[in-house]
Amino acid sequence: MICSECQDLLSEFIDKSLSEHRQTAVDGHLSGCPRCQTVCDDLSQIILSSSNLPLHAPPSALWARIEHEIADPVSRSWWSRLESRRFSLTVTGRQLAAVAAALVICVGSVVVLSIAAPHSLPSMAAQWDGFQDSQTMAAPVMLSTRTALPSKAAVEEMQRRVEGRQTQWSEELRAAYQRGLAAADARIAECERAGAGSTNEAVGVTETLDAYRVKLLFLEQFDKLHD
Amino acid sequence: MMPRPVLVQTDNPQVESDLELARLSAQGDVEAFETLYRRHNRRVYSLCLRMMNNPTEAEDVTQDVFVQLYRKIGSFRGESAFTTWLHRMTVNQVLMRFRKRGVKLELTSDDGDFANVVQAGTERPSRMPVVDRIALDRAITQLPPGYRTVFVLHDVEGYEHEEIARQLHCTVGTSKSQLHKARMKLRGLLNKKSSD
Repeated sequence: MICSECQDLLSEFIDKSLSEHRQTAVDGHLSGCPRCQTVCDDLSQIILSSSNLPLHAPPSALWARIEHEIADPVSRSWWSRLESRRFSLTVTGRQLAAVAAALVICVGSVVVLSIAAPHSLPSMAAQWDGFQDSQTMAAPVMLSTRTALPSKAAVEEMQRRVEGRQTQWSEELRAAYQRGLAAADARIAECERAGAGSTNEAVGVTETLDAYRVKLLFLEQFDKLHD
Repeated sequence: MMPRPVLVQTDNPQVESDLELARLSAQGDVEAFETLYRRHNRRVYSLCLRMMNNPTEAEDVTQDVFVQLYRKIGSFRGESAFTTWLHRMTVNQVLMRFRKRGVKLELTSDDGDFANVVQAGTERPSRMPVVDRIALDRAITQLPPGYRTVFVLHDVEGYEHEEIARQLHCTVGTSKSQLHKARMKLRGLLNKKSSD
């Protein structure tokens, strides 16, 4: 056995995971090779020391964050959780698929709308294209930092404004609106439920924000009918 | 008569065992949970820090671990040691974070490490000085992610190669090879440090 062969096997030799035959061969080489014996001793020392490494303390404020998190995870609103927590907004393929599904629902509603009132929606296609361009599938993307965060109050205000004008709509348009709105609300509720049951809050918050953004875009299209 | 199982064993009977604290926590006792946190936060954070090599991420994962622990603590039955259970949860969280970030753990290739192999015919290498644990801790941070993960799991946390291979979706052979490279690399780093 030459030195490089012996040293390749040293970790397994120290861990006693070699076959008996090889264990004996390495042992034999070591007894006649001070170089390899030194390497073996060094590795043994590293292994011994690694089981007793110093401990590091997390920042003292961490407990407060954890306590806040576990206090009442369900009743706390997504908006307050968003304010209180640092999180990564990296979006995976699954989350993108969920957002894409929500988009399909809303785009479907817009198509119905276009059929119902094609002359009223001149810039809609361009706007949807712009929205979708901003959410390209190149992963990972930062969905929630690519466009402004929608304010929950702004979404509700927009919905009130749009619904205040429903009396001017045709039956067909009202039905299309209700279908789109129900889909957008269902998506938001689903995201909030998933977020409440998930240990990864960042995922839930990101998806919920995107669901709100989709709803806002949907409402804006109806708002523009009256421009 | 069946012997009564001994579930709670502590050196000091005044100190509540992890199992007892876990039971209280499962009933919503946040104070008991805080005691568990105070008892284990350094180990969990150190493990996260060693694997992630980033204090901010280590802090975030530590937070996730304890939040998850609180939610799942009712399922801890005491069949295994609480620390083992908690450490597995921690490792899972770290690996999940790695997967999300797309960190390739098993594919680290650094042939340069084997410059550390002492060839026959060269001078007898000087013995490494007694390992300073702080120096070793620092040297671990300089390992590539794949080496570091396997080293921390095996040599620091005591995982077997079979379990590491399962967790990292690699072969047992890859785990062994990564571990050996990690140890040799650490030896090189520690030797270099002592000669500086």
